Amino acid sequence: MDPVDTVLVFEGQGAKEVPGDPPVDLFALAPVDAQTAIVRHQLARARSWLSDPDRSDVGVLGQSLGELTALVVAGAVDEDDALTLVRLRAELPAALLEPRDWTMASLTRVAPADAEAAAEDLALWVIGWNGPADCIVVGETEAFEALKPRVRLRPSTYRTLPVVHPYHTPLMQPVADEMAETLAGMDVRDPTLPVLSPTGPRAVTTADEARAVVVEALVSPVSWTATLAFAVARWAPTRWRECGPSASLYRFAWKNGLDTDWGEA
Amino acid sequence: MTPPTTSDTDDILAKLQRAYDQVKPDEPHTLAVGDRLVDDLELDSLDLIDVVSILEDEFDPDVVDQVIDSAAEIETVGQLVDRFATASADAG
Repeated sequence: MDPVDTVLVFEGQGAKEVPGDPPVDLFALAPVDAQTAIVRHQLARARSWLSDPDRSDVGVLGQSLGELTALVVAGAVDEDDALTLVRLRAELPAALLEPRDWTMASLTRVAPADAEAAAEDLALWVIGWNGPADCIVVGETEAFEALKPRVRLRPSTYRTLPVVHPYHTPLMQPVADEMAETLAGMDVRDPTLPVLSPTGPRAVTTADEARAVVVEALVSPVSWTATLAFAVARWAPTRWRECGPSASLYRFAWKNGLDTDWGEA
Repeated sequence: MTPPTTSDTDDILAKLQRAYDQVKPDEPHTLAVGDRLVDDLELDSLDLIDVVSILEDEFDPDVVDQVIDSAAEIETVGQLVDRFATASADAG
């Protein structure tokens, strides 16, 4: 056990907007610009939170894109390098992968294992294990249509996400290889804050581990349910604070049985 | 089918309030039948399904199923209450 007082949590891509005056409409932006805006917003909120010296006892945890933010906040990756990785992560799939019509969707009232079993013969993967009856899938649009009746999806029990590439699947290996090459030339350091990765899940304590999770996350599912349990067991935090933009991860806290102080940073 | 009584709808509204409080703890709001789910409560489709699913222990599974089947057409808290009331009456 390595207790921390607060877990700063960073969501992945999916929010409609970044709050502000006026708010930024993420759906109107190119994917690379939307992802950059999300990471910058999260960094600003995390830094604001950490500017109070009484709040320094934190661990960080990011989901998908948010994992890059977590590594910056933990001091493992410089912000500029992280934004380079964000750009590559957004742009390389179009350059390296065969173009196909992908659908990524968030499902509720479907157990991840049931979705996986139903998709066994489909070009579709369960890439987010978010709760007992919540998961994220990505697949060819035709495969997603085939999945719908198999898991009794109804119009209100899923939401498509603004993501057009098969992140967190083995198909991303060419992108992961390029990212690994880029990371090898970057100054990545041992984290100075405790970090957990939902790839596994596992702790990230060295520069090499930080490099590894950035690459492996591209081709591996996000084990969010297991990660929350891992964080509770390892950190026993008293509070969790989401750093935006949409605070969408709260629903998976209570759905995974966390009766805890969860709010926004 | 017997039309829902005021006490039925009050009871359903109270149950919905408890579910809403669980789904949106940082946005306290006393539900009223005229509240619009999206515009007033900022409940997206999955939030609405969460609210309905929380009530699975309090309603017959067929009732919850019926409400979820028609969730895409429900725009207000009042319509949601009516849907629960109608489905409960249908279930007998």
